[in-house]
Amino acid sequence: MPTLAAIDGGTYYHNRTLNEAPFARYFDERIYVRDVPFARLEEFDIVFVPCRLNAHLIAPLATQLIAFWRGGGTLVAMGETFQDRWLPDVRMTAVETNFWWWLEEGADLGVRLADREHDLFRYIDQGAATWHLHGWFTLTENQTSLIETREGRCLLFEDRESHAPGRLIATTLDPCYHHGSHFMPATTRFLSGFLSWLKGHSPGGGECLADASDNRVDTR
Amino acid sequence: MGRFLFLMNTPSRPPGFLSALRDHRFDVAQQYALDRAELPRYDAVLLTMHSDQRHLAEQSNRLDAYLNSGGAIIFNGHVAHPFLPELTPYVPAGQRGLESLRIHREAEHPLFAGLTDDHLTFQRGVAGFYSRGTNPPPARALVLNSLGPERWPVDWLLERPGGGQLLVHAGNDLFSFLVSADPDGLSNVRRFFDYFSGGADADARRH
Repeated sequence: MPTLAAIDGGTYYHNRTLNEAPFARYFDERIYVRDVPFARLEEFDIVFVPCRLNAHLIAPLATQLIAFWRGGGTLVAMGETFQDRWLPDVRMTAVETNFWWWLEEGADLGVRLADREHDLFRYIDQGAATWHLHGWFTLTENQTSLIETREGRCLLFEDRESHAPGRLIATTLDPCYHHGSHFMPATTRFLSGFLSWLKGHSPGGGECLADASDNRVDTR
Repeated sequence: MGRFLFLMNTPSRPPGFLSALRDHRFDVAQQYALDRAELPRYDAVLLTMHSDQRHLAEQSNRLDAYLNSGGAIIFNGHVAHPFLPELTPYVPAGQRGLESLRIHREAEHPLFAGLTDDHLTFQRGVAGFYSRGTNPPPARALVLNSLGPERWPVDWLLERPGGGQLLVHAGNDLFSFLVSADPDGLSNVRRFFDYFSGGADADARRH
């Protein structure tokens, strides 16, 4: 089973996602962000950069993270880490987040699975990828879109080509932040499937498919 | 005029009210500047929901001493790594419909003067943004606002014997709610920071 190290930014939502049930057991190691320069990332198969880790803090680590990817590792960069500021060939367009899209009957945020045959989608479905949009990527030929908007704008891509067997997975979706805030149960389902996929668990293992609390937002 | 230290841990621009409130001075920095800040200069230190709490825990002795000398700390977010003796980890509240998301004003206080339950409960008619749980307060804290029928404390203020004050908000940054609850966008935040600048009283407390 591949080993997974996460960078811990010390925020409450990183703490809940990385250090608490149900996901703590997916992470073989957590490296505090200020300790990353002293860490040997090459000891791990996967390095996970969690949502909203401050891009100002990641930038000085970029050489180290890219070397890990070039050396054959799988680098995972989650939403709101502004990957375009610290990864080569990543072009991102931010969008104004619509927190209210679901208010209309039958509303559709427009998230789509770009390649239904991809292994990831044995683990997550369209609903588990649907909460908010923060931005989209303009892809290079090495980057394959896995999740996109109905207009075909990429929300999550995989690059298995640039530094094979190294792999880059980047997304503008920010499930760690919402799961870590006990807010938006889809994000818990997303992480359950996404982390199981990264770790090579069997899909549908029944792990924490429902959050302990019902995080609905209610209208007046 | 008050002087405040606003510590960020995101790469975004600081909120607009910081420059719009011209009666007060806000020194804005990335969080790790805390290590070098001369804390006694400040009427309050502002910590956002994105704070690196492991770092705050490393700085616990300085923050504690600052409170003991009459300073004020305003914390937003969920406590994960308690960095002051008054703090304990966040507890999410159970959610069962609208009433469980309703915010209740608990005490009249200048920090929230003029704000109603509805101002804090609803954003564009939707409940659930302000808070969904509690950073459990110590027994001597003054609970300002609470959540749901169980009245979970979501905003509380604690005064230390030397006059230091700790304001804790269990949710996304309080300031954005104060701005949006207000027709001109600034009255509530102005009153909020006027309170912490405290004029002669604040100086007397610290010197």
